[in-house]
Amino acid sequence: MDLSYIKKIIRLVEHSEVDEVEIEEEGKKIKVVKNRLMPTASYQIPFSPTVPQYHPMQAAPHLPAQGPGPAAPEPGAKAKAEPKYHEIRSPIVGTFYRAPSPDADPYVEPGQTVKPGDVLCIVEAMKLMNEIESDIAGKVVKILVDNAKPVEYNQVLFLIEPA
Amino acid sequence: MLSKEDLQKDLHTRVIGRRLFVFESIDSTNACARTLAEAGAEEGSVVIADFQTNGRGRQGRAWKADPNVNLLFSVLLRPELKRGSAGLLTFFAAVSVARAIEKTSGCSIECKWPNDLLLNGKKICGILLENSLEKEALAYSVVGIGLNVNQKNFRDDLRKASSLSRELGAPLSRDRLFQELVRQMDELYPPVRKSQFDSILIEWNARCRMFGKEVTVAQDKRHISGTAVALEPDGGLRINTPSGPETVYAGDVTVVSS
Repeated sequence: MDLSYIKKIIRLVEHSEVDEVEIEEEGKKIKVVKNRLMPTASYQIPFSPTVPQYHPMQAAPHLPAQGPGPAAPEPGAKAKAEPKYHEIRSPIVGTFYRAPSPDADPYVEPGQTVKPGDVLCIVEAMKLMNEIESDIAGKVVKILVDNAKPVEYNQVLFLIEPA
Repeated sequence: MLSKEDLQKDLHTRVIGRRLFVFESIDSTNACARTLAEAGAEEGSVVIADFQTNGRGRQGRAWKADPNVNLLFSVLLRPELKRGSAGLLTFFAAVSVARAIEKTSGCSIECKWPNDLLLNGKKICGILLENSLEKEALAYSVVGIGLNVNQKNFRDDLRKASSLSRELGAPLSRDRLFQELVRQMDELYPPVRKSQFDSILIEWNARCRMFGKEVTVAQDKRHISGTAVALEPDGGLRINTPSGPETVYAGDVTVVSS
């Protein structure tokens, strides 16, 4: 770990979205922190042969600014205009599926009544199928995402009219 | 045939495998584990079968495996995970299986994002996780593992699939492999249970050979191509594409060049 390497890391941090980087290599540790009053996100930087370091995950799981994401704020805005509806949001970043398999019927259709515990959809991330259940009884008013489309963390998926 | 006595003999694990449900044939071990979970079965319960009549992969794809030669089982977990980190259980499962195979057979296992395990470049294991989420909290998670152990023949359309015995040239004891797998999971689980995945991700990284290579990720109707650069702390795969960096969370990855 020589001086030019450290300079490179500092430059990298300076010109990136990353606020803090910690690298340990052959017993030597370097930590670069950007002096900014911003919530810190934990990231690693890509550099090849060494083992990347991980920070324990903190409160900021995903930066919506990163994605192409005009989709993310829009459903929220829509939901605000319809305050009487209960929102079901995506707990993770992933792919939205309305049915358990491509040739199966969707879990729910607009207009259908649901009760707490009923499965509404699957959001897949890292080959992990997350079944999203309804937490209230009511009628599905709107399904805001098309099948097999990517969804952001906290994106509104369903609007439900409470029974 | 698998027997409960042989599988559990001298196992002595803390959580994983303390309850064992052994079947000669079952529709799907994941489906059974989920039914048990709903009925309040204890954490660490394992459902294992010699044969699955309706084995499943993601999005309802069939998982076909010959009877009496493979390890097909599901583990029920009830971890207290932080928001957004449920996807990291995939890496916990992958590292556990890789460790167990390496310890039992001495060979070296490669991890491919997110859940593939390769031996000599061939897929030898499938992992399917199913979570039940209630109001953002994880009710339970079922980790389904299909490990090709002593299967000799594979369908022509599965050219990239193989089994441990086919690659290693000798049959393996399913009992021994299963026990090692359960022990590795049991050993790695305590921090995972509290949502600490740091060491799992570091170990997964050390087994991954995708970084620096050109990859294509197929998502629905979209294809993302670029250089795989890193695993994000939340489990996403960061790719440098011609139009900038992008992190993917789902899709089938193909390594284009080496």
